[in-house]
Amino acid sequence: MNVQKEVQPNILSQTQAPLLEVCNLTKVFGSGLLQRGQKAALENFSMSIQGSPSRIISIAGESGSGKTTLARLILGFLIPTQGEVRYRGKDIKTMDQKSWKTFRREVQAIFQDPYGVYNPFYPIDRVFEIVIQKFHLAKNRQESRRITEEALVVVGLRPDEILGKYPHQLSGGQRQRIMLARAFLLKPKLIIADEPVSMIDASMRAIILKIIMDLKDNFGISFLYITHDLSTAFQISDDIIVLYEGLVAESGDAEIVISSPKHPYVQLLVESIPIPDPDQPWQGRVELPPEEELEKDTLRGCKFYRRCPYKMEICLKNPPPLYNIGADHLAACYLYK
Amino acid sequence: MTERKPILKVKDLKVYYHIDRGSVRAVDGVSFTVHEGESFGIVGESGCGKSTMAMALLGLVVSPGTIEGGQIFLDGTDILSLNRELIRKIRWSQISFIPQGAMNSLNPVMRIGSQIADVITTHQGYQPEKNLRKRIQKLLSTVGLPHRVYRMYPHELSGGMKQRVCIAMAIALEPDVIIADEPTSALDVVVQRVVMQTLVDVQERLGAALILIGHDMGLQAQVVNRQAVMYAGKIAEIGEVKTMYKNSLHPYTKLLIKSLPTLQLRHDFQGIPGLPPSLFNPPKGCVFSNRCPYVMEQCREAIPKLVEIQPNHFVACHLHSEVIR
Amino acid sequence: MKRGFVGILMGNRKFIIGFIIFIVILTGAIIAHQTIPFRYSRTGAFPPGLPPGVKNILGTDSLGRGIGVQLAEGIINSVQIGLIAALIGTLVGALIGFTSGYYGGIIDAILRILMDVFLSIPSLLFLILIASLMRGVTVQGMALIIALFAWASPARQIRAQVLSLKERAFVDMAMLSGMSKMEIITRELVPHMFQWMSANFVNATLAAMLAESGLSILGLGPQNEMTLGMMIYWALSYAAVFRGMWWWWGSTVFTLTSIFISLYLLHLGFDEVINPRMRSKI
Repeated sequence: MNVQKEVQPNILSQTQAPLLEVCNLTKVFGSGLLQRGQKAALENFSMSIQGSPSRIISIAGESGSGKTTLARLILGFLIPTQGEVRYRGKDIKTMDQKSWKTFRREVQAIFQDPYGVYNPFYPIDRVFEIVIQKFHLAKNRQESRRITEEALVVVGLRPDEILGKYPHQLSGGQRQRIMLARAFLLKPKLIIADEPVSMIDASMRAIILKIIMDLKDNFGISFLYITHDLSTAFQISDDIIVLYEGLVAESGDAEIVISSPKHPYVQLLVESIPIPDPDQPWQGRVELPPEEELEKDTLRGCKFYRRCPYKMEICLKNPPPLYNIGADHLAACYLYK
Repeated sequence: MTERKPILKVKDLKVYYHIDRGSVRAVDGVSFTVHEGESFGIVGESGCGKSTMAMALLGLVVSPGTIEGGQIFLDGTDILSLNRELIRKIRWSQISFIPQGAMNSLNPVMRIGSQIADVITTHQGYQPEKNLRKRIQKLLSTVGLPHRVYRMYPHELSGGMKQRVCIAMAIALEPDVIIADEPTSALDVVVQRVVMQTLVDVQERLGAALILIGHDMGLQAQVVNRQAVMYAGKIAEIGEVKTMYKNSLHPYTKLLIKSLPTLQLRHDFQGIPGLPPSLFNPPKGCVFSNRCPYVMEQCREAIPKLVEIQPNHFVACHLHSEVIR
Repeated sequence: MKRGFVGILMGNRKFIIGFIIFIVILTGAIIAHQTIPFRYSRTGAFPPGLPPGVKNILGTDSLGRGIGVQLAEGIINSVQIGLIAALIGTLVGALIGFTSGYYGGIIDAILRILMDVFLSIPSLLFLILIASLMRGVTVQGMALIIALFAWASPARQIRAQVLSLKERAFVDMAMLSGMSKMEIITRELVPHMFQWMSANFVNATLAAMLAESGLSILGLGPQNEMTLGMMIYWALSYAAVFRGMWWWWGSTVFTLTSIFISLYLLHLGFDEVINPRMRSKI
């Protein structure tokens, strides 16, 4: 009894709601008339982001994996079919206006297309002006200008080269960095970065990824880094969750999962990454049976069954749950039952 | 290495776009040679001129673009000196093309079989139906697609399958040179591997030369024998693929490789600060001078020439042309 | 960006010519209307049926009224009807189109039915019906009636554009920045449609003036005020063609044609400027 009483205050402080929690999130597109055979873009997905200490979590997957759907659900752009997205314990579907304001301030985003995110009719300054105005970040014009310039410097841009320009007058790398500066202005706790460098040139990618790591290390901002490129995920993330057809295939420490993947799909994925070294060619051949590519109906069991080199009977019955295969390392495969 | 006959030789090619603001020097004095049966990669970032060059090789440069100078020798003939009719004849039968986003250029209301048939009959005239069908089905197997794709529509196929259809179209007339411009950019990593496998198989079977244009250094390393690096309309370096990745000489090539995230070591990549120069008004000297960590006085004054530093290794850089002197 | 657009328009030959013709006709009419004494338009002011002469530049009609002064009034009223109907049509159409497209859901469903109904009704027939049911229309009244059918097509087209625009990343960005739906429509989406809406306004003016002439010639126009269509109506009522009073019907037809040509040139000018630019933007 005594022990419990003494322990209680500690438990209370530790049970403060996490910054962002995703609970059994499922999203099915379409009218819901055809319940059978309809594919879920995301199925029963759960995740918890504490907020501090700041971490970079990668959500990796190919097209159709559900990663973009997840981003849009978290940001409140889509309504889930089932499950909830909770911001500091509150379901975002039913939050009040005030909570939305703080949610928007603490959870920001940058997107894939560095041109499409701008309204071409206005100079880029406007992206800063809007957030400063909407979130009351400055008292007057001078302060507004000052914090804007500070934010630009943080991302390595020179204010005099950037302010006053229209989007088409700047390069893709500059535009993407401006978006990071805009997010930074709000001093968020979490930035959802949806494929932030996939439309950027190789030589600029490294610079932007370095800025992301800098924001995490020096400004305490966590990132949800959504990508199809495992090399960049390997380089910058702490944790990784690999999605396949709406379900989690494997998750855990990024370095471990990518350097020695356990799930057959993730193994195939990592092997197929073209390594920029002629001495490390692709090993063997991969055959995609065309019948499988043309097959539209969904399997009852594991979604990777058709391509899996280790398929077993049990795989056909039900999709495998996530099994624990190491410290915080999970894989959804009956091989690890 | 057996000496292979050159099948495509580009000499000092210049393609400029003339618009009201001025002239964009998209391709500014590019020279290289591709040999029979070889896979040759042209790698560069956006705006370096690689796609414009692909267009020039196919005789598809249209206003406001113009060929300002240079020669393109396809199997000995300068195609730039040919009239449109002759260029049309050699296009597809001697040199074919898989464009970027090719899978989106398939006609959505025509069956695959008819579309491939179109390609064949446009260049070879009327063909009896039975022969045509057999021929097309054979082509489909060559790219790893089942015969029934012949009767299918593009929307019924996956991205990777559509891209393989485009490969089938490109090899239908058994050309000597296949140009592939970012053939896998919209595809997932595993599908990309399958499509590239198919492309290389097909190339080897035909004995054709493959020119792979792109920005993905990883992909190039897996596929090509020799590689050229383009920057701001010029060639920076050409060499055998191993040399390019292990012993490159041009500062841009070296920095480009250093900027690639690998699966080896974490936090081990470095970007290239700065921006490429404007192609309206290229700098007096070397186009890379404003970003080069090894820049010297003469780099800003004189344009470095592309010189063969070692056998089969060409570099356009003042750091290395000194050696020759 | 907007300044650039106007600048380019001013450089387009068709636009400038159309603009000049239109302005010249309108200004001429206004000046004439202000300077020529009102009594010239009264019945019996002059001997009837006079061909153009020194006193009456354009002659007189069968009631002894000056053609010139009527023409001036007619131009002003017809243009007024055209502009008001077009303005209402474009603005209401925009309001409905943007709301329907952006809000979606039940609002969109209801507004879409409304749009479809008005689009499928044969407008001229209904205009005739409405005008004939109303005893005595005014110029403003005509403008409103015509506007009734002028909003549906722009609403439809704007809605279609909005449906695709709202999927764009900059709209996501606006939402993330805490902008409300109305703010997003007015500050983010409207600029994209501004050029189109300007062009549409010109076309709507042309269509409205055409509708007015049609209705007036059928005798359904304003009886107490003069419009170009009404002038033709009166000319026909008094058998001006049969009697060879070419100055009466001729001047009106010529003026109407000139206005239509000028508006059409404006439309062509808009088209030339907008389309290549839109292609490069998208």
